[in-house]
Amino acid sequence: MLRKLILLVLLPLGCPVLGAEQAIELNADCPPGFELSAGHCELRSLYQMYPSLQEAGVGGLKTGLPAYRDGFTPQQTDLGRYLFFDPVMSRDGSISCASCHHPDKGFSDGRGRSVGIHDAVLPRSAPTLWNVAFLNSFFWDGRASTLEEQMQGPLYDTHEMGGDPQWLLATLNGIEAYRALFAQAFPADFTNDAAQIRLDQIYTALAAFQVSLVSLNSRYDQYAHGYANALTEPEKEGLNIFRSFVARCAECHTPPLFTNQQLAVIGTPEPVGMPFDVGAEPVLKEPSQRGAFKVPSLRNIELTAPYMHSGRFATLREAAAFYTGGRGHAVPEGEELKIHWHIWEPNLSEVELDRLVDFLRTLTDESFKPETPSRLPSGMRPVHDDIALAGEIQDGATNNE
Amino acid sequence: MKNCMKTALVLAGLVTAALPGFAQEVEAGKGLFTTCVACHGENAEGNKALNAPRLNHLEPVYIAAQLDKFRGGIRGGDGASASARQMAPMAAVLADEQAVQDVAAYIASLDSEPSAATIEGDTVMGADYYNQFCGACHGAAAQGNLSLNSPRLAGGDDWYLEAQLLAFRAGQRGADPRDTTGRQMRAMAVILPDEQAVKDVVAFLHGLEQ
Amino acid sequence: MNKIAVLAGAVVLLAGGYYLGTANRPEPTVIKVPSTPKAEFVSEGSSEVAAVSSTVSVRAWETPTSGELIVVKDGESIQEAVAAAQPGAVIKVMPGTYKETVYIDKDNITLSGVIEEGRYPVLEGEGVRNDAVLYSGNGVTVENLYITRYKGNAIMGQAGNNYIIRNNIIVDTGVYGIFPQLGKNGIVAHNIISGIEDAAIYVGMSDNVDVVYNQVFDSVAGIEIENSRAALVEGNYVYDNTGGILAFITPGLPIKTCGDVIIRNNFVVNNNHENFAIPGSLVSNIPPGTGMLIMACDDVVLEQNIITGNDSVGVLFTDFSLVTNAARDPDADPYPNRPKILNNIMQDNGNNPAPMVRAFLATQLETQGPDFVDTVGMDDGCISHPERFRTLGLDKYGECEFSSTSNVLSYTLPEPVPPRKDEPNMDKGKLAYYGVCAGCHAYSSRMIGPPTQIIQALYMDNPEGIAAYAANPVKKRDDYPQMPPQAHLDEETRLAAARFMLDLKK
Repeated sequence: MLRKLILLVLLPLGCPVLGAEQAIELNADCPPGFELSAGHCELRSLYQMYPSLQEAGVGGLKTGLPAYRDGFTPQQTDLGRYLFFDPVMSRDGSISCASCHHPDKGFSDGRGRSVGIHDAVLPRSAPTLWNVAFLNSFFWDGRASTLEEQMQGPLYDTHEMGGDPQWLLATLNGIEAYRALFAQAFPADFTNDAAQIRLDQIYTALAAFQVSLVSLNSRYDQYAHGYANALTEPEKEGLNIFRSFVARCAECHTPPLFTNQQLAVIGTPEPVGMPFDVGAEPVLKEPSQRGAFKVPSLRNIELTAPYMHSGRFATLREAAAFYTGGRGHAVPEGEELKIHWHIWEPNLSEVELDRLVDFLRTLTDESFKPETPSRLPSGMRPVHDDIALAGEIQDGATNNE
Repeated sequence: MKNCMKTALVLAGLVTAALPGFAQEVEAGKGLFTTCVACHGENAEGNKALNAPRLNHLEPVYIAAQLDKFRGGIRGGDGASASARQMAPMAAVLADEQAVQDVAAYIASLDSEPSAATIEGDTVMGADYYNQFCGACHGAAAQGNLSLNSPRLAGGDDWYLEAQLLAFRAGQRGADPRDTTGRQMRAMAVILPDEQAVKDVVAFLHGLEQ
Repeated sequence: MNKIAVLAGAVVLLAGGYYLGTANRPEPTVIKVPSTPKAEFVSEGSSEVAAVSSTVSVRAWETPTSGELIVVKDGESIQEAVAAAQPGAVIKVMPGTYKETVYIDKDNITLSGVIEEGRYPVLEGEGVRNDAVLYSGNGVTVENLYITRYKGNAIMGQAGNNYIIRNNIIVDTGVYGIFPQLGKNGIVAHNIISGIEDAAIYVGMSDNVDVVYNQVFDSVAGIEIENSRAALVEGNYVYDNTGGILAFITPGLPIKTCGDVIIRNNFVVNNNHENFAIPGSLVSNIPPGTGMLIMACDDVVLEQNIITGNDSVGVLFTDFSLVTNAARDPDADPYPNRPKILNNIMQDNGNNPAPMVRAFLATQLETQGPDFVDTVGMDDGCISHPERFRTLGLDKYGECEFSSTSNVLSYTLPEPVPPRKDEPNMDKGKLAYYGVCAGCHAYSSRMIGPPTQIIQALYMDNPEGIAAYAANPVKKRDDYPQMPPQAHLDEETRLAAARFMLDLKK
């Protein structure tokens, strides 16, 4: 009797126990935060009650959201989840999307600069994937305008996942389990046995999963929706410093997404020994955008240290202190940058910096964090918890490739 | 092992806390129970041939609640199954609320082995159904949950559990508007997709305790 | 008959000066007497206001009140009153000195000073506090306060529609005096503001705003309309600033247009203050002596302003070439399209141009700053009576199709903007269920909490029970984590979510 009871206690904790040979069935329910409507998952959020000037999705506490991506099917979303965690997507099977966008590390990787296959250290840090549904440009320099365009960067970069389109198609089509799952997610495309997995289906599924990573239920959000007790007094002080016109954080890290989605030249330093990163200048072919990077969202920011495009600042406190260090104080000699006008000398006190950090920590919400699949269609094991061997790069040689 | 012990301790604590005059009631209930023995047996172990289920695994508060429902015509009235309608006049024999409490306490003090399995079902499927739909109220080990008015199911007769699930699904039980907890259970019973699923859940439950 | 003769004489006199100033324009002045009335002025803003208004109503709305009154006396805290206030409350602040930052994150709050025999309630920043009043709620009124010595702003709005900021006196409050941002439908009226190191009144990324009857002086910029649409700047007295009235696009902001701005009946006088702006700020580029600056903002109408004694230039139309210290924004159109200049009074402008203006004038073989300059040379502008003024770069401007904007009484809407309600799926219960509850409760499968189906069975006709439990959950199940309290959702929202939850079918 006791033996049975123990078994029983263990049972409900995980998914139903399946035999290894049992086929995976894609989830027919939408992820949390989405309503199933005519077969598609549509975003629902209390922020949809609020207006937004010019529908720009920037404003104050009760401001509506910017334009966003949704409308994928539950099955596409779930298929994307399997692909996201499956190291079969990298050339040597050593990393998955989740290696650099780890669900337990704010969908970033805890590194200043990410590490690709063969332990290659990349020029910039991995941005969080939380709330990418609301973004209109991707990469630190904003060079991609859709998720589908963005993901082809890491998938096919020789230093990142190292694949190429032909190889990826051949790989996935060679896995019976994946063909079955793609057929579930794209039934209209799989009406006969000869149907093959296509690239656009891969991109769609990965995009579907990524847009499900919605984080709009932090304590800050509870405050924004009208619950004054959601924040402590020090945190409210931090909010007021954050939006004050002395610190001016909210001018670019604008609610509700805590980014205004613009490029800005702020002149943060690189890690020691790393050459200056020119940012968006080559993308826009615009010299005045030299050193410009996208304003990142600050949601879940406490989970994604170190900070800035190449991880120069180890803590939120250090990152906040940068802004009170003086206009252009960290710009390398010889660089003439058009530093953003909001970068000035606010002379924030040590206490004010502490309060800012207190406030930033109220932006944490992982309530819709998806589950990591317990087994993968490729039969490989998840690798995102493996600790990569590479340390921080010594000479910065691969920067600004 | 640990989990099981913990569950038992918690339950024991709850029972003791809920019924301070437990010992006196047990004694008083002994006499009243003689009426019940004919069908439910000397130790309330049940008798399938007479459609009388095992009762001694149940919490007194749940036994009392059902006796009250039978006495009040909330259970076992028009539209109920034949066996439930048989039970209603028997419960009416109890004179008052104290008598109900006493007999319930006595029944709960009895013990017997669970009855042998009579229902075949897929216990893996049953576990899945149970975990999804039932365990949230009846507990992971089917130990019951007093704060949710959910009786212990582990140790119950499989044939009886099946009959009750079917009665709930058919509207023979849990249809009376006054029967709040019965209506709750009815709403859950109908979620099981078919009668095979009922068998699967019951088989799973019966497998919990031999 | 006499009138026409006088007018003709005046034109000839002015034309004499005109000839002296612009000797490279040989055409003689043409005297015209209009024979047919011109078209009525039409703009997006005027159409929007007209569409929702059948009666004449000029800034007639007020912040809605509930009857709740909270009085704050000297020595007490205004913020404590705000914290206690419900939407609709009026907070009256008695004369006295209040050393605090007041933040209003609620709707429909009226923060109103009580003035006794000239004594104001004073918000005193002592040079150490950041902002005096911050608001993000809709329908906020801030009035009758004396605000001084803050480091950031006196009154700052971060979003929030239907705001009224009036009758305040603001002295030396750092970067901006009054700064509503990202809101629709607002009134900034009858304020007196001085000593600001950026703009005394700064309307940023807003729609439908009236800035009227204010007195602004001794600041870097008097009134600034930035990346906004449908703004009326009227009847303001703007003097002794570096630049008087500005309408422009700041590059690099998320809302990238500026337009439909009427600037009329203002006194823009002697704006010759040295530029003491913060290095790196956009207004640090403004040459002292600039009456008005229109940068990249479209459809700006200048009508019946008195613009005098501004030493560099009366009105300057330009593109982003003025701001050399900011990164270019490829998504913002740099041109001040369709400028419209009606019947302004210009005198004594350009007598002592700032060095950068002097340098520019030298390239045009000029020494005195003109009344109107268009550094781009727009070909879609219009000007009434061009012969009256000394101009540069207005050669391609034509005749305006309208003679007045007097049909536009206000660019604010006659009624407050309602909360969003035009969208499908606006049910609060549904949004709360999917947006919050669904993190733990799926319809038919176990997640962190029990499935919605089980909750439906337990609470079938008792949504109040769910709402009450959710506010104050207790642990009921050994093998489920305890539910975190959802009291952050107000009772109405919890109940709506509970009803939605019970009605859900799949």
